[in-house]
Amino acid sequence: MFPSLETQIRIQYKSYRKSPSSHVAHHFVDEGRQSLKLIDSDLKRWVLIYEALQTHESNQLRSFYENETPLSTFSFVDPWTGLQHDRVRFAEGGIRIVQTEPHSFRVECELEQSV
Amino acid sequence: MSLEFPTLDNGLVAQLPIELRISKNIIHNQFRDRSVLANSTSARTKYSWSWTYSNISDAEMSRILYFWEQTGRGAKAIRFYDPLGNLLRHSEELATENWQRVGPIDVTELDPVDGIRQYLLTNSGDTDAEIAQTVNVESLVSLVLSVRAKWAGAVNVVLASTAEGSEVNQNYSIDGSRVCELAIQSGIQGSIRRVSIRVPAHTQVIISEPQLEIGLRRGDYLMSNEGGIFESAWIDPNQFRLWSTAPGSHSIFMNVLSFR
Repeated sequence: MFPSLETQIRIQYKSYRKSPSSHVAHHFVDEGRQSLKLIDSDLKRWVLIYEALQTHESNQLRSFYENETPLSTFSFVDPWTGLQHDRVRFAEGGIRIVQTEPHSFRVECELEQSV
Repeated sequence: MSLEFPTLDNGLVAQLPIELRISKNIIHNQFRDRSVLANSTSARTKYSWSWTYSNISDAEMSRILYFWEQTGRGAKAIRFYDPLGNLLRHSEELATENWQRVGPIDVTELDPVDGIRQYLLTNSGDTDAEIAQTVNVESLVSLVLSVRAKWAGAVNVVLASTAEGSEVNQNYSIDGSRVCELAIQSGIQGSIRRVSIRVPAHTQVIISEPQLEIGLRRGDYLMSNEGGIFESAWIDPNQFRLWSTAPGSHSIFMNVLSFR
């Protein structure tokens, strides 16, 4: 399960959710268009942005990432729907940690739903 | 042999804000049938630290530039210390072989408190005993060794750091719970350093949160696994930048990379 912050919340307000394109479109010379829904088309992505984290919260996210086997999956609750997704993993790009002040961190990472 | 990273006049190796990017080095190979082979289990972890030295002096700039030239402008490997990490290895596994025991000392794990593992150190002998780690840190780096110690009733604990036969230590009286911290700015030549938590004869004490960090005073506790010393790192030559804003005031952007 993806870690929670000390306040038990899972994400902060700057975070956002992406829904990658779910279809391919074919365009024809008569300006007609046919779209085909992709298999596994409902895969979501979440970009998590945390501001002003405490040291242990930042370290908890860092340790979680470092200890994950690449491409392995974990559970994540979509904060927009409350639904738990059991096959979520870190997207390529990893995790970004910025220490801005002695006890204040900014952390960013992207999660993607796996088939 | 790795080159030693230079320090500023205050003994630190970086300045805030510091950015750390961690990513897994996964190679995807796709085949004609659209199947994908990825090295998920053998992927190494890439670390990338970047920061700006702001308004440093002529002497500090010269030191960093000399080091930059010594590395062949990023070609040679350097030893680097994670400025956002605990330099000790396995900071919460005091009962394992990651920690050397010297003398008649028993290490017993207790129930964790707030998720942090606690250990009872018992010295039943007639002489001092200790648990210790050997770390490879350049002597000019400012370090802080710290630990949280607990006991009901006054007992003593000693934090010590030894390099090239010379020791820095401090004795702490524990009555209740307190954080003990030892600033290490010895300037002793040589980079092999031994840091230890020493318990006097016939004494018991509960220990948690051992930490060795770069700094002038103790920061927040960070649990460590492999520790924050990276023996083989390098400076990204394409990112190194120097600019001066006034006579005697310079800034340098630095990006250090390593794999683990």
